[in-house]
Amino acid sequence: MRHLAGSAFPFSLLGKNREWYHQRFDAAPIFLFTIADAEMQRETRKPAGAYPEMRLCFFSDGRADWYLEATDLRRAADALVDLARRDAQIASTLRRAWQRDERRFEDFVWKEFPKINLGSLTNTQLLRLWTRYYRLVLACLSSTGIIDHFALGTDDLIHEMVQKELQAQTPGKQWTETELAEAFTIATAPVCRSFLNQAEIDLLRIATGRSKQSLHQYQRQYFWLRNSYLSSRTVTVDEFQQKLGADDERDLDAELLKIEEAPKQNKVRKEILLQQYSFSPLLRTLLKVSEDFTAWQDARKRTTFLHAHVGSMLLEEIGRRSGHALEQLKYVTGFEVETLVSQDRPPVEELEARMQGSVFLATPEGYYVGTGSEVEKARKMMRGPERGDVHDFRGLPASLGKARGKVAIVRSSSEIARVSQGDVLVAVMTRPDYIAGMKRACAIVTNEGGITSHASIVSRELGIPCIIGTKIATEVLLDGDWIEVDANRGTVTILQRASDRMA
Amino acid sequence: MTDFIRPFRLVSKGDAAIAGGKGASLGEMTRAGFPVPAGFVVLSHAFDSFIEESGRSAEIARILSQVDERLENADHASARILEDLRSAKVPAAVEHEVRQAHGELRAEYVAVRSSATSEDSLTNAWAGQLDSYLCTDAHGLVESMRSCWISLFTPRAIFYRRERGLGAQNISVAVVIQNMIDAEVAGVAFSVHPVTRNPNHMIIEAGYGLCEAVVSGEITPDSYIVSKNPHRILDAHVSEQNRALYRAAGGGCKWTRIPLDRAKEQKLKKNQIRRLSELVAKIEAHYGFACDIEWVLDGTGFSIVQSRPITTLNAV
Repeated sequence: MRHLAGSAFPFSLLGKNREWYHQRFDAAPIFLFTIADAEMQRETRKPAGAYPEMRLCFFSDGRADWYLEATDLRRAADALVDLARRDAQIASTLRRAWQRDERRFEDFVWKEFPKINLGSLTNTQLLRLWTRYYRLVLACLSSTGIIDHFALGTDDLIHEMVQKELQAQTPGKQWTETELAEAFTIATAPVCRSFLNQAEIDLLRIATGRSKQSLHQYQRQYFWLRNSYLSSRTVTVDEFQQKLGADDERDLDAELLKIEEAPKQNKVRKEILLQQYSFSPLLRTLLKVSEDFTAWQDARKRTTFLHAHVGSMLLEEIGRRSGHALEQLKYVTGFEVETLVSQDRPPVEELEARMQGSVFLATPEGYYVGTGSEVEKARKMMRGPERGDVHDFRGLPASLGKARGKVAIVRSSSEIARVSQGDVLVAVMTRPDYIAGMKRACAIVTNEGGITSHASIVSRELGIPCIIGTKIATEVLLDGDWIEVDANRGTVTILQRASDRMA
Repeated sequence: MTDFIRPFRLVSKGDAAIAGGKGASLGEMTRAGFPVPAGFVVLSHAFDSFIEESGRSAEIARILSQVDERLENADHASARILEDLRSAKVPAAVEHEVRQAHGELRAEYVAVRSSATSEDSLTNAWAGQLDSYLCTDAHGLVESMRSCWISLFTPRAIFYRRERGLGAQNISVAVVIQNMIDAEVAGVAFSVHPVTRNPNHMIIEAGYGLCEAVVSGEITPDSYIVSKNPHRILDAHVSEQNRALYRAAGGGCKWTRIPLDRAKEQKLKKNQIRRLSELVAKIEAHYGFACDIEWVLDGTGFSIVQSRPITTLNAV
């Protein structure tokens, strides 16, 4: 993907009335945005219609907000359902198309990379190695769009089909919501071990003497388990050892059995369900696709974890020579690494700006990076519809009672004057210098904090209701919204939006 | 013989007037044999002598007596007082004693905390109103102490003083200097659940890193409910914690990201919750009233860094 540098950030592309599907990760661009890069790759093995038109991602403070656009999602999901209608083997056909690339990537990670002495490479060789490696990653991860679009886009459809077909086959039976939900859970439960489960099993097998593998061998196989889209961290033998020895009351045999048996039991229960009821061929295919894709998704997660490991090592060596810190290099995209080293592009000021907060937009034509005020502007455009969807949310009651008032969001002590008598003070957390505002408030709502935190203690002293740990209050609420805080139940209800009142 | 400082083991709960609420309780717990990181109190007359030697005592009293309830004026008063104190020197005798006692601690890093001696100290009046400096090295020691002193005159402290009707009354401040524990996990325990007020239930909240992240509410901690009799863990609610406050390499603190799978783990194991809750019950029994306790866990086990009464249990 080409960086469309120089062009202004294309806010018009984001549109006003788009719907977004939002996910949050611990991530930096070099590891997460790789996926957007891979998804935009044009290739014949991808079914028509399965391409996204855009991916949007915000980065700040090691955290990423990843957005899929709803029409992208629906279009791609529809295309896959269409394929499934015609070809019951669609899942395995697709998966096979990526198998060779997945194998090449694993070979590189486990066989080739450990033998390379990075320090002995010339600069040109090192950059060439990076480019070759990055292409391997892209080839491997370019299936992501298909997997994600199917998972997110067909969930409702499958849910609805399961319910309808069950009810159609059992005239006279009154299904309760719980029974229907249970049937759906059984129909879509994972039947394969995830790599995390497998790692857990292998460890427990060592601990219970069922495996001859030494902990050192185990560590060499699984040192990357705690990686993320943000960073790589080598788990040591000691840590694995600790994980086993931490609690004297543990019954390791029972734990092992439980993890080993779970997917098998899921499988049995699913088979019984499928025998008991005769689902339509399309539903059967979709359930099979969902099953295969769940395993594929897990394999992709493994790839991204390994990518964090190998990628970090390569970038660290590159940075050592170019004078960039690894943390700075995490804020470039894969194909920028070369121009960064050879032409100092993007310049280090740009990297610093991206680290402060940035928005990356991928399109089939190339990608854009926005920083500074562009970030807040783009974020605002994301919030519109998402905010409109929320009518109430929950948190933990820290001081009982119930109150209604106008929202006053406080982001720093310089903003406490915004709280008028009888307002609801809404903040990520409160600080000792918010006290004047807290005294005027009729209730307090926070994103973070516990029962023993400052906001909780002060609200109890003031005798006003307080709900903490909502995670989203400052994102969902706007100044002037009229809300009810019911701290007896832990709910915040939006009674009237400020925007509605003014209209 | 020293005039201005006193090690924890020579302080007890009756000494709040000279050691402040925090200092007095750390002394009391040290004497009672609870695991308290070693430290000493810079007594309130060190502060008094600082103000005296600054020659601004009367002027400060005059400014404070004129403060009205509006925060703007607290801002103004604060600016004038701090302006006056900015150039004031820490008395040489105080500095000498503090450095000597600090040397005896043999701690690379200490926590320097304000400990107010207001008559109000049985309530939470000054909770968090005065400053604290974590992870301070020998270099920053005296300046941190001075900053604790003059935090009695920040706008919010002046506002609070006024709110509590303390006006220009002589309020003094002691300073606690204590071995800094590099906490792996830390948090707060209330020996009586402050929301349900069930006297048989305590609540423990726990997060990765230093205690301050839990106290401030900057992170959402795990919370465990433990019944005292019979001694049993009733509920353990795990919160995902994506960042934690740790000591930075060169002193001070810094936020560090927590990898996702670790973020989702329970912060204290069952046997640890059990050990800590026993400690909390013992502290409550020692004082004879419900306690709000700050605790830290490192490789050597649990330590207690603060205990004070819970003030809101009788409220309606």
